[in-house]
Amino acid sequence: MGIAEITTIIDKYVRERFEIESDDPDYSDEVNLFDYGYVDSLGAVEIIMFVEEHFGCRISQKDISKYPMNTVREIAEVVLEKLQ
Amino acid sequence: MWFLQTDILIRMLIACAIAAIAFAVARHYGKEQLAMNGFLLLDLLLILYVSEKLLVFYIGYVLITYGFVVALKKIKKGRRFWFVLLCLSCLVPFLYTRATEFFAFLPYGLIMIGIAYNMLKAIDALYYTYYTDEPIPFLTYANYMLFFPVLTAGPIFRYRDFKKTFYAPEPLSVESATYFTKRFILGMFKKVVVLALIFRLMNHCAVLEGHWYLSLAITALSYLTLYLDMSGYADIAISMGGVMGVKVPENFKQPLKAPSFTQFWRNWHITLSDWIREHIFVVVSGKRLRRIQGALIGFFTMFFMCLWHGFSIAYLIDGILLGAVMASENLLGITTVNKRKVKKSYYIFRCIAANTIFALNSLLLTLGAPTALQVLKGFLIW
Amino acid sequence: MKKVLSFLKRCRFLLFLLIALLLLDVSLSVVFDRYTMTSGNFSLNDYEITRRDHPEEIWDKVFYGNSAVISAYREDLSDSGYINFGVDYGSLISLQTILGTDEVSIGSNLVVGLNWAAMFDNMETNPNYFWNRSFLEPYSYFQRDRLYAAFTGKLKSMATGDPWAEGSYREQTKSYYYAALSDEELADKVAEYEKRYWSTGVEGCGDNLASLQRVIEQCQEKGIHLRVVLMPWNPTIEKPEVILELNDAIKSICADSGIEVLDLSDTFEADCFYDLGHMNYEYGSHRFMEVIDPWLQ
Repeated sequence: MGIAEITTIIDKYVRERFEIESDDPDYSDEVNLFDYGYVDSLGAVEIIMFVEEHFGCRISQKDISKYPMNTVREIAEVVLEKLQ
Repeated sequence: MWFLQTDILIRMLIACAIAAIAFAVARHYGKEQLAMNGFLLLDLLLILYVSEKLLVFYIGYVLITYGFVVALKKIKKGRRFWFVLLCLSCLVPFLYTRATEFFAFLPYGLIMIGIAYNMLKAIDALYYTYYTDEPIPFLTYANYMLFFPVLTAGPIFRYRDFKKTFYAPEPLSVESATYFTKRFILGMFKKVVVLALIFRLMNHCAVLEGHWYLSLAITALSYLTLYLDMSGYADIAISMGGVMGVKVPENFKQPLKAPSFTQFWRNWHITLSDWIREHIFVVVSGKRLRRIQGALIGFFTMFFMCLWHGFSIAYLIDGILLGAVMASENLLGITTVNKRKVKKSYYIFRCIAANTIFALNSLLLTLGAPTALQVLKGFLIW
Repeated sequence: MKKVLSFLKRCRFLLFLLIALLLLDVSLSVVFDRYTMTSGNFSLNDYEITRRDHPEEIWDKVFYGNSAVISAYREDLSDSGYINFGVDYGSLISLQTILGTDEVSIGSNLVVGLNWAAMFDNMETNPNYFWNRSFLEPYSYFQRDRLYAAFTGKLKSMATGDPWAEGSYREQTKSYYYAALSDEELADKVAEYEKRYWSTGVEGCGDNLASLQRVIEQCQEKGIHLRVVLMPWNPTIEKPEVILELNDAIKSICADSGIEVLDLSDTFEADCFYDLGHMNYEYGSHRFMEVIDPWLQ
């Protein structure tokens, strides 16, 4: 599974779960979800749990400390590395 | 904030120029890392110019805290205990400075400018070692701790972010040089010109006879004072770092557009609130987080941040009040507002509410507790 | 060529900024300098006072030295036509730098008044003198205190309407010394000089002595008739060994080049002195002029 596919899956989840409209100009998979108020810290936990369940990988405290996970793209990159 | 003294500012600019040239030359010969490591020399020379005592303190502090990092890496048994102990010992100089404010008899020989910011970096390095178990090279660590543009007042680097930009520096182009020069001028203008006028105006109003509209004006000016002061400084630190190829994190992202208090702290002094929240968050994460835990994270984020600013009853109360606001937002689930889903008036109201709460709190920072109380009382006079 | 043009186009903001700053600095150094001297709104340093009182291009006859010369040589009491170019901390190193610039052009005669304070290399200096401004130092940085005062002063006067320091320094003179210190105060001062300066010995005057040699050469090159005066020393204080050695060193350097030296170090009685080397205005300076004026002519 490539980075593009992973990004799309996470992107779809985030849009639905946090009710982000498809035509929202500010939103993209590069935008900082937290700085721009799409997701709060509780939401961050939910995204991590979704990613763990959906991709069957384990996001540990080590990963959170080692890699910034503020954008959909960054989360996807961590997942990609986990799957390899 | 050293750059307010002209002679230090000029030396900082010269150091930036030297760093940029050295980096360009080193890059030409494929030895970028050599130049980046060389920045440490510029940091030390600048600190030496400011004060020998400060240099002695920081050399000691960097060596000792690096010792903690290496020790933590080696320890296998009782790692968690040592991790917590070493993090707390990074706080010792900071707690000592705060203690001297209470107990005057304590000797106060050492000069520790910027310790409040740099201890956070030391602790972050320990977090990084503990959770990622990855080694931290000494030169990278020393550069991380003493990087002069951010040494005195942030923005506060996370080790992982510093490492990323330190090992993949962005070469200076004409476009980026132009951008950083403009941003530097903007930062200086905010800090040296506009802030100077606003600050005088605020202090002038603060001594006038109390009235609600006067208190309103003072509160607005106090908000503006803090914004200009810190965002101006951040602009300068970011542009100086940028010229040296180091991407310094942003500290301000249009806080006026923050529709909730939680959101406000993601756009105001970002690196500080991020630091506190994420360091709490990492410890509690991995477990199913319910609203109550989110509220507690919010509360302690605010609580520690206020105490970080100052150890006094006023800051304690301030911490509790702001913590309560943050916690209630979490409990009520109103930490985020989807601009496109809610009525515009509601969105604007929420923005005003969040910024007003901060503006009232800023009185404590800009005017000190007694005057702040005076201004708050002024609201009752019609 | 096209590549250069496109590069310049990309740099236009930085180039424009650099040129604007340079132009601002140069224009400031002309406009603001004249304003500083003539407006009377600023406290002037001793060189600026001399220049204000003597705007002429060439100073034909000049009596240079430090505050000892300011206190002793009275232009208003002299018929010799010598300009009092005494400046606080006026050392030989400073004189050498001044003669190296074209800011000050001396005509025919230069008399240099030397006392111990002009000779010790670790003696402070006044950073505001133009000769202490380094080549790379922008004018607006060099005059930053006055620019800031003028800018905020004007701003405040525009806001409040009341004038800002209009000509309040117009009558400013160099600083003189009146009456005399008590014996204890004098003893304290001498003890401090001993600790901070004299303890470095004659070796501590190496640079200034080298400058004396260089000044002699500069005067020969420019055809200026140079003479040296050893300024008065308060007789109540016994001269330490280092001062005697220093005076001999000056005399021998001058003798090697045939420069006339007038030794006034032991000529005047204690009543003439405010402290160790400054003459008091009401009496000492008159006594000094009685001795020096005939010699100057």
